[in-house]
Amino acid sequence: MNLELGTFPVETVAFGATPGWHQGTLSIDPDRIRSRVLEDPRIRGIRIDRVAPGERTRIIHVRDIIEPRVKVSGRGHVYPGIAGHPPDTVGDGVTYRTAGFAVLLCSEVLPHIRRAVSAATDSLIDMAGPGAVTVYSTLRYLAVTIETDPGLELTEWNEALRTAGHHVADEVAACLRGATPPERQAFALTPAPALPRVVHVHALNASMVPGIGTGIYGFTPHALPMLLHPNEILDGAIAGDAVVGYPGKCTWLHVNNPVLLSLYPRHGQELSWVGSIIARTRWGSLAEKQLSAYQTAKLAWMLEAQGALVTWNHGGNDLVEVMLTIQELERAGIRTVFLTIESDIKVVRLTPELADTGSDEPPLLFSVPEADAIVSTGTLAAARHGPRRGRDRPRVRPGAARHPDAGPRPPRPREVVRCVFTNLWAFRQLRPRGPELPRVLKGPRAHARSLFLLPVTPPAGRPRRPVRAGARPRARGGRLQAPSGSRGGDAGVPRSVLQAPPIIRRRRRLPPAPGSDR
Amino acid sequence: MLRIGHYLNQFFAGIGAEAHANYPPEVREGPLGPGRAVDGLVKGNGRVVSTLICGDNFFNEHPDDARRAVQDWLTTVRPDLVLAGPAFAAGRYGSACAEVCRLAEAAHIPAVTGLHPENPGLLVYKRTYAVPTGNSAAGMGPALAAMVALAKKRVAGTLGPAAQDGYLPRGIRRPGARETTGADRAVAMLAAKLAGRPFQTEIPVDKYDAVPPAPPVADMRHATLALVTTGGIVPKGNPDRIKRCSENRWCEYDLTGLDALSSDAYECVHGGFFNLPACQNPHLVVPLDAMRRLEREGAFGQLCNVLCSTVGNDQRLADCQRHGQEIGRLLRRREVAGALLVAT
Amino acid sequence: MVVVSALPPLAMQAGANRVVQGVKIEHVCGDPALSPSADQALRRRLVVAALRALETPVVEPRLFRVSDGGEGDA
Repeated sequence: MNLELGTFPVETVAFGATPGWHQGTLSIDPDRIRSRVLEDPRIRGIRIDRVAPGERTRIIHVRDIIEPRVKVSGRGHVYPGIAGHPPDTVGDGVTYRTAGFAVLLCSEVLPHIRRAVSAATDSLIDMAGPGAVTVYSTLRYLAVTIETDPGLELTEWNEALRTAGHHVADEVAACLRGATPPERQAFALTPAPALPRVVHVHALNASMVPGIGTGIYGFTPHALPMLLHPNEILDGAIAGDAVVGYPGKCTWLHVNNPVLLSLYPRHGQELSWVGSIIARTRWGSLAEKQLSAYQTAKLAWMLEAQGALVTWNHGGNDLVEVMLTIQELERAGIRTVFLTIESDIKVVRLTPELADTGSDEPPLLFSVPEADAIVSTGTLAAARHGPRRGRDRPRVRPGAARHPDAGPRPPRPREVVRCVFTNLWAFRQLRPRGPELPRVLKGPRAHARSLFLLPVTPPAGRPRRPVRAGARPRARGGRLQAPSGSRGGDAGVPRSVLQAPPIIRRRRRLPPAPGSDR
Repeated sequence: MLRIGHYLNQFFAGIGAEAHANYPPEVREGPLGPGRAVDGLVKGNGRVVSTLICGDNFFNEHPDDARRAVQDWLTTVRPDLVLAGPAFAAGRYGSACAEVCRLAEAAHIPAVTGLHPENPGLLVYKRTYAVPTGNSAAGMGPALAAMVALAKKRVAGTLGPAAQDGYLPRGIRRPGARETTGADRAVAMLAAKLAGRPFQTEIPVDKYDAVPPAPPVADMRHATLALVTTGGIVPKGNPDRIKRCSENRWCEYDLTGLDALSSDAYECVHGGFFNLPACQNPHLVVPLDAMRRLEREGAFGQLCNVLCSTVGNDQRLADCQRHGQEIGRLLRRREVAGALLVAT
Repeated sequence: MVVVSALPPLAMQAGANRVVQGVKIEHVCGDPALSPSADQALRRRLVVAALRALETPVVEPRLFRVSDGGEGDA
């Protein structure tokens, strides 16, 4: 299998009637996108926004992030087996992609779905500020907010959203066909018989709820381990969905998996990569977990692998089969390295206190003695010990549309694998100490509303600070309103892209003195 | 000027050896024994203003009195820094030093000790700031120098990780940035492992503490048993709003007169697994029906009429430990002899 | 105390000294695929194994299996 990836880096996104890519500017026709998505009768409305890194913007209700890719030559369609794409084996030929840009699919979870499926959490991405801790804060997005028919059942809702997201990505990627990519890279596993043979064991959750979750060629249920060529993964053979997609299992992450991009350059130099074994996790019984582990090790053994790089996408009981797999591999004489985040991922205390206390929770909930080579991608806590002192609000010149620091962020080596969760539970850690915000637990938006988006109710006796008109969104009648100027057509669709959201406050050591706020 | 308080046992204070191990706590002004060397090391920047002496046996056999003496000493003297020992490999002395450090830290006073890496005192207070020492007092000079150096860094706030600044690992992990991404480091580690080159794991596998087993239930026919679960079985509607994930509380529910948990009245709110089967039949997690039947048949005395329930999904270890202690206290008050903990 | 868990290695590693093997994570104390009477019989055997574990002296983590059935397993 020989795959050539042509990359179009995106530095600006423009709306225009002629879609295309020209010297870093990606032009998108929003009307065409809107009409393509609205072809599906399950979708009531769509709102389209552009989001750039560094903006004072918070995106909520994130369902999936999809990198637009298009197969220019070779068998099959990118992201095969889902959204109506054929299931033909991919990984050969020429594929074009955008870099630094993705389609962001947003939709509020319907109440009955939220009650039924805990995986359908509400997640958010902050494009600037202390909450911008993951790689997703560095991408440029076409944010597509979708309102579906409220009566949809789980599988239909999931399917409608995922299809919409992929149709948008297909539309955007289609314009790349005629252009010449400035960057090209070839991916092939040419035989290297003299070098040690290495297998990548890619453990992926399978959902315990039927019909949803990460899919291989769209196949989501639990299954015994199977073999994929890494080019298949680069062509989108592994994809998320709208339920579990964001943040740790989104489609973008699978095609931009840093492990693939680390292994490939070393193939033929230090090692001979023989393939990627996909093992599903979250089996319900110990016997099933053991079976998956034994079969994974056997597949690696049949490939005559001498080494294995084991990765997973987090979970609780999933760690048991991952550790059993590592144990079986080592027992089969295959040397194993485990790349993992740490269990206490919610240590997001971005305060100087972290420097003193750190975390003494066990980094891994379960382990086997054979797991003696582990690389950690840490927790969600940022490397520096706290946000900048002083005002968090950057200075804005009156009349300026964006603050002076906005613009493409220089690429920083961001840890991609660690960003498993950025849901609201993690951000709870960032709330100020003091009186609890009023918790209105009716309706799914209430969560986002209660934690961040309502003005804080001061304790009795303390005068409330006046809010400048237009400076912050205020909750009115259950709908959030952002200042005008945000693009989008359908006024009925609730916003997920919020301009100038309330600042996530850092926790302070002492409770605030009466009369002072920060 | 740094005011240092020094803790010593009876031997290093010059009182006597094993025969005087019951020496009760005594405070003396200024440095004693090794404290004088400390004074020399901090000359100009600090001095040992007070020494607390206590016999090793006394400390271990009268822990409450010893603790009180330490706390009184800390309150009266108010040192800026506490040094304990060094205790080298002495187990009782090491435990006492660790405890002194713990009490000092609780009073917000930085404390440093010196222990041999296998000193059982490290188990007393895992987060002791301890420099590694040899196993005898022959290494006193270097041990004190290392303790003072560590203490200076702590007071200045410039202390780095254990491996870097030469103290014993405290089991604390802090976020930090590395030069290359995890993926690159993992591939490099694999290449090293395959080539037989040395490598350093980034997560040393930690063991949970062993729990001494409780004695068996002596008289099952008259024993009171209780049901506990981390599977999130709660009354329907979740009146206490137990979270599906990351919960830090547990709740008790009355089982008086209940022979069964019907799906109309109970549900499963655990967010970490597909909980529909458990919602449709809560007995799949809390086997109340079987327990009641066996109770009636006399297989055991009686069922405690309290169900202790929480959601174990992504709970912090510290919370789990606290829950265990609290639930244990409740069950002890109810004279429960044995408990079934159903974990999901 | 006895822990009933579908993942005994995890429970034993965490320090549980008496562990009874449960069925599956989603239904530790039974099996909804069985008929109600078979499910109840399975649950009974499980609880009986748990009671037996409570009466057994142990010195370190030990797994107690549920017997396969038949009356008279008390």
